[in-house]
Amino acid sequence: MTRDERHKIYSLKKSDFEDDKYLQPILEDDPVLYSLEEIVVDGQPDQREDSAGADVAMPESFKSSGPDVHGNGDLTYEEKLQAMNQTLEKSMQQLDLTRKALDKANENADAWKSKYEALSKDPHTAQAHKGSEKSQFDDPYAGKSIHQQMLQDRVRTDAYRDFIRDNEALFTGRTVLDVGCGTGILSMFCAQAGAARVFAVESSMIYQKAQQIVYDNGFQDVIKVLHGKVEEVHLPVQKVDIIISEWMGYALLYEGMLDSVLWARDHYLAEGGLMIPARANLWIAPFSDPEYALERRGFWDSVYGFNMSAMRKDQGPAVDVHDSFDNDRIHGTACMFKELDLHTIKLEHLSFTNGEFRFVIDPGRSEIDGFVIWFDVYLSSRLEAAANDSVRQKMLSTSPCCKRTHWGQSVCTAENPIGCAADDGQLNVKEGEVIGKVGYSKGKEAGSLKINVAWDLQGIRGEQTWDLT
Amino acid sequence: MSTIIDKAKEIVERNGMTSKITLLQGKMEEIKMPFPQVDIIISEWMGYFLLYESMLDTVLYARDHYLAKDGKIFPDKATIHMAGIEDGDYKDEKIGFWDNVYGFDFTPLKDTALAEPLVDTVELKACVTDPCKVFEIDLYTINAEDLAFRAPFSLKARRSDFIHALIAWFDIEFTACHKPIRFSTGPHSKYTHWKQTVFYLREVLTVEDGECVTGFLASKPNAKKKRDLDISLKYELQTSDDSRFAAGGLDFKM
Repeated sequence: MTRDERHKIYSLKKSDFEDDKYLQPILEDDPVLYSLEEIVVDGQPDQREDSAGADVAMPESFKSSGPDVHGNGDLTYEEKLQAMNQTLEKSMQQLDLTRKALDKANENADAWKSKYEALSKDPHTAQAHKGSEKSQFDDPYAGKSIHQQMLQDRVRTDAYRDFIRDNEALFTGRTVLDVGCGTGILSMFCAQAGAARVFAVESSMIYQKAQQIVYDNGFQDVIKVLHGKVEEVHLPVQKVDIIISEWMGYALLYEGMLDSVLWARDHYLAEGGLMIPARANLWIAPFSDPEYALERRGFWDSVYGFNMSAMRKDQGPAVDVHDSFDNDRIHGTACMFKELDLHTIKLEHLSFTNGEFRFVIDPGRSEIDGFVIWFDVYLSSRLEAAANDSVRQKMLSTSPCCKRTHWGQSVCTAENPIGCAADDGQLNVKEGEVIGKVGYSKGKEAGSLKINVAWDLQGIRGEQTWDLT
Repeated sequence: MSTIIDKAKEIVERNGMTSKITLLQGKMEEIKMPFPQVDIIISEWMGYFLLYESMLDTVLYARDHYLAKDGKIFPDKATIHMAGIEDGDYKDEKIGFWDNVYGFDFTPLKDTALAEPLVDTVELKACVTDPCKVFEIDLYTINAEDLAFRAPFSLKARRSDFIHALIAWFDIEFTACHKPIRFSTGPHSKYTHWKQTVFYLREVLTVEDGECVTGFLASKPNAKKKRDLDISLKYELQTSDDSRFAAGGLDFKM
């Protein structure tokens, strides 16, 4: 018996099964009879487009096989199968079109490359150099982009900003001298912290930009940008309370800017005034990397088959600045060989021979190929920090263990593996202590540096000088 | 004066070639040549953008004074090409960087950044347009005055994309060789230290596949510093869509 009272039947004949009247729902538009695909939300069919642009909306045949059971467009199983086959064929066609489009895209890419190639008829076309070389050390326009490089060195700029921000009390109402202000960033940090007056001295033409930037940021009443060397400009005050500067170069003293900062200290810093940074330390550690060292030492021996070893004569080996020396290649303890107190150090002490060090080489190491040198600076002095609890110290480190800075580390590769005598080439490094001395002196060219390292490996002595030009 | 010549002398000696190679120190225009004529002039004179800091003047002087009739020059052909590139991310990094530096407005440096062509490596996939040959130098015939040029270009977009910059590179040819030797410094070629030269536009061009960016590239030595270049670029996007039409002119100092 059906639920529809209209069709009470007591016996069924074959013809009853062939008649659809018993399949009619009691409820019109009974939701149970709908399939999800047939629910058409506004706009949905338009979104279902493939790359060839053809519509993949539900075929009409499917739409009508659902809700419409009242006689119009009833389909037999054969017709439904046919509709499905049609859909399948359509899908296959679309897949084929997509495949063709992809092939065409690939063809275009190849054709394009060929076009560039044909234009230059270059037989050496290879994959374009992967990963653009955005090396900061490779910029021929160092004049301007050096500032971007330094400003983007977060470790460096954050250190100064953090220190100034954490110690506003040191700056409020004070007179500050910024030596070598560049784009004026440090001066603006100081002005922000409440400095009453900031004199920003800059000898290069970038001073014009600093002036504009100071004005654009509304600091023209506090910050005065002065063009010239600090030894030559006319400062409208006799003394300043604070001298701030970012003067550090590779291996700390390359470029020789510290000379100017110390001159400024001796002429302008008030009694009890602050130097920022207040202290700098120099560190040395041994490194071992036979492959690198061999390449480094041997480069000029054969250049396209020619002997160019003459390039090494009369000229000390060079210090290599590495962007971020791999800590794994350092095989011994690091040692601080020089401490500079920037409140008291004299200019003549910037050339020294007594940078003593002692380190221990890792057990099992058979070859030491040279030395790695780096520095730390402390923005506040120990005394200041100790005497006044409210002074927050900030340290900026260029150690290979720390985050990368634009200073990297200075690498001095020894001419021969250390520990072996130059003539017999026998490797004779024993584990244990190495003592020695580092000497810094100024090179012939302005700003250049000569680094001398003398070592004593349990009786085996050696010495070498490197140039940082 | 560069003292590398002393090293060169030593190297020549070490390699047993003193009987063949004579090293003379001095400017080409000033030295006294032991021979009145030479059969071949060879030089690696090319600079960034081909002409920046290039020694081409000197090579041409040598040609005019010393090259024998039917003498050869290596290389003898150089061509400058251009293309348009999509470089949104890097432009932001290099130029947009100055908008906000630790909260400060550093836009005065943005202008400087835009006025300097950037020498950098460009990937082929960044190229939105076909390349276009812009300027050709035949070292046998060109004169120093011709190195100040103004040449048209037309860059056809091969896909719908944005153009942030126009790039330039050069190709070099040694046609005198039995099998001509050539190399390119284009984005499709192996890396060279010349890389490519990137000229950022102040605006961003929205181009459709098939549209052309036309214009002129002009370059001349700077009046005060001969080895520097004053470059100017004029461009126009040829499009029927008014909302995307763009045209402009830019000056660069290299």
